[in-house]
Amino acid sequence: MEGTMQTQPPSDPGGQGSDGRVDSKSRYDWKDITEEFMSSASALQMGELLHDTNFGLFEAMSAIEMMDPKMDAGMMCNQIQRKVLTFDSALESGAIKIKDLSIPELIGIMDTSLACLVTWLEGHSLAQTVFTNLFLHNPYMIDDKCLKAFSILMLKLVDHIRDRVNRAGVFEEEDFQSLTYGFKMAADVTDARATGMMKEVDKNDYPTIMGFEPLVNQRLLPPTFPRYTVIRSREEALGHIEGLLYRLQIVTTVPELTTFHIIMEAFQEFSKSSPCVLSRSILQLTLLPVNKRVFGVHTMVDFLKDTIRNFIAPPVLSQKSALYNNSQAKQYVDAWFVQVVRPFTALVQITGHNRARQRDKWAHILEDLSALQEEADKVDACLHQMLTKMEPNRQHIACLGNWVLYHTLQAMISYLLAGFELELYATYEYHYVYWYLYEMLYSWLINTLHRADNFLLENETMADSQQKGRSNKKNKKKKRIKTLNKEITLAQAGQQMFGGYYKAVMGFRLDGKMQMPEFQFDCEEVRYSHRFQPFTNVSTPPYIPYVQYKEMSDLNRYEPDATAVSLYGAACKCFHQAKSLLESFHNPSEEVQAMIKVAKVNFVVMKILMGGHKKDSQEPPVFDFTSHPVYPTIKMV
Amino acid sequence: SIYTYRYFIHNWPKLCFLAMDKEKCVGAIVCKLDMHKKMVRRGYIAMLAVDADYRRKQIGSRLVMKAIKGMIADDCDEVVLETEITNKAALRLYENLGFVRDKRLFRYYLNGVDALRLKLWLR
Repeated sequence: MEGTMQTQPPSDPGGQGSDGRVDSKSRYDWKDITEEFMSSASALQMGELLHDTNFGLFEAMSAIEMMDPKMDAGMMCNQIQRKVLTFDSALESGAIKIKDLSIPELIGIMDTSLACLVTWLEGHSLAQTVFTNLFLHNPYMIDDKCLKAFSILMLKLVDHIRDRVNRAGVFEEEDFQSLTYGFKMAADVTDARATGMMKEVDKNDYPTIMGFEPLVNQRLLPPTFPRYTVIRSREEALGHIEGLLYRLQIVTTVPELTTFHIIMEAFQEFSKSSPCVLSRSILQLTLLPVNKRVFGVHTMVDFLKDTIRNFIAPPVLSQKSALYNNSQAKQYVDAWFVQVVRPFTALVQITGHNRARQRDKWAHILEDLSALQEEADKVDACLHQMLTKMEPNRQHIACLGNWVLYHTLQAMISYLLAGFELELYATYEYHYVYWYLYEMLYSWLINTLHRADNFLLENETMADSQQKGRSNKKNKKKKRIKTLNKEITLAQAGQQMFGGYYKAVMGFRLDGKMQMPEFQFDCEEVRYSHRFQPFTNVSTPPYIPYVQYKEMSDLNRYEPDATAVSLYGAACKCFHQAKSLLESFHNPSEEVQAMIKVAKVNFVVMKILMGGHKKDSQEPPVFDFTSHPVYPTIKMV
Repeated sequence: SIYTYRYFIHNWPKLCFLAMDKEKCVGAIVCKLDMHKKMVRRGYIAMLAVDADYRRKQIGSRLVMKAIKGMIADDCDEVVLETEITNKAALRLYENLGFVRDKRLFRYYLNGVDALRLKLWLR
């Protein structure tokens, strides 16, 4: 088809249109080629197609048959009985009013606008939600002060939301669609003016909606789009907005958080409830606004230095150490810190994505963290050499490296746990996942935390002994200021939980209750290596290949007398130990309380299995994730 | 659209199988096989359908098996497909053949339903 674009003469009323939208009047110079086309087509056999080399999969998927109502967006618009209204035609026909609106009408319009806004925030296009509101197509023409102010404000609100979500960058196409299709967003009205206009009007009440046309923007959308978006009901929309306000309130408490670790913990907690893309974005921007300074105040480097100090008290960052003011040491450390910023900023951003996307990102960041850790080890080695000359009693071995390792391990654990939360593992995979968590990752985590804790202790002891005029005898029973006891206890509890699950699963296998499948095309070794493939990019901890996993978990080698009952007993002990560790917390979080409940139930289930309950049954146990997305309750059917 | 299927069948005829009851077609599978991210030869099952009157006869599974064997014959590393998380029948069919859940895709479908990417790693 050939056509030429014609510029509309300014005086043409059908051209630009008073609403400035895509007009229905032709701008093309059509040439009729029906005869040539039909005669060429007749040369093709039935079912034969003409295939251009540029016609690939994308073109095939987006191809439409013209005039097919399912594919051709315009056909639906042309075929429906009622006419699709634009702002102008609706005004002309009296379908909408721009003055003398009753209070119920106003409330209805505003409520529906909010419902559209909420539907947009749930991932739908503006074309099928907010912009179906004709009043937003030309708000300046509205006489009613309330509706005018509201409409302008709605446009500006959408613009601001788009800006925040785009800048935070923690969304994917399933989360948010920011395309505005060329709509004017009242940019010439300042925020102050818009809110001022709203303050000038003040009213209350409910329903009936003129002014909303679901199909008004249909031609703006590609053919692969759904025909309709179901707009949320007003009650649901209100519920969503309440939830949003609650989440934004939580966001306002974020500047109180002090270290990077505390922030990571808080952000991950926030993420667990699957918050909306807007609140996730605002949370990210609160921590790292445009100028990339933490809360707009501290540089990321200073913030991280402070965090590391609290974690492992590296001498090079400790004012009392001779290394602190050494210019060579400073050089090494500052050069390394420049490298730290990007991956650690990325860590925070991962928590801002939706839960499904996070899993891929945890896998992806391991390479960067591992490289950073290797660099850290080199810096540590240099610093250690320097330090031993200045302060023979102190160490710097793997100090910074340990901190990075801590985060690497956390990322690896998050990656594996996401598999449970997203319901990805088959039950016949549980044994190797639980093993990796129990024997490898949590072991390493606990050791790393102990090492860090020792550094903290050493630092404190050093500081004490440097205090002038203070007798060491008095300080013998002094309580430690900084300790990682809480983190260590949690890690130990986690290890015990996964140990419990691992041993339970091994028991079930010996008992014939969980049988390993035999598939024609599937092979456990291949599957294992793909599941743990991201770990191959990490040098510490070393990746455990399948063969080594089989050796290390071989019952015949390490526990030749193991029976199902003895394994149930071992699992029982693990769950009991987990419970005890978690109960030691004075002010247990909701998470800890949920874990305790699960540990208690599983302890009981293991206990009765030990006693011979369901001994002869081959019914597989059910792993119930309803109480906790990661720690299931084991149920015997 | 129909052009998607024609595209697949045109380019990978050996990975398209029909189940026939005499002259009547009662089931079909349409697949492709190509290089994914320059590194992996990935088979993709685009569509599997069995006539409602011919269900529960393992026709679906057998079509998938044929397709997989065809892919293996052409040096395939892995086989993938997406299905709605609510499509229990499909999940059962593929999981019984050794497919596992590789990814969860939130709101993948236009009606807001999540999808699961199922994968069979051949090597």
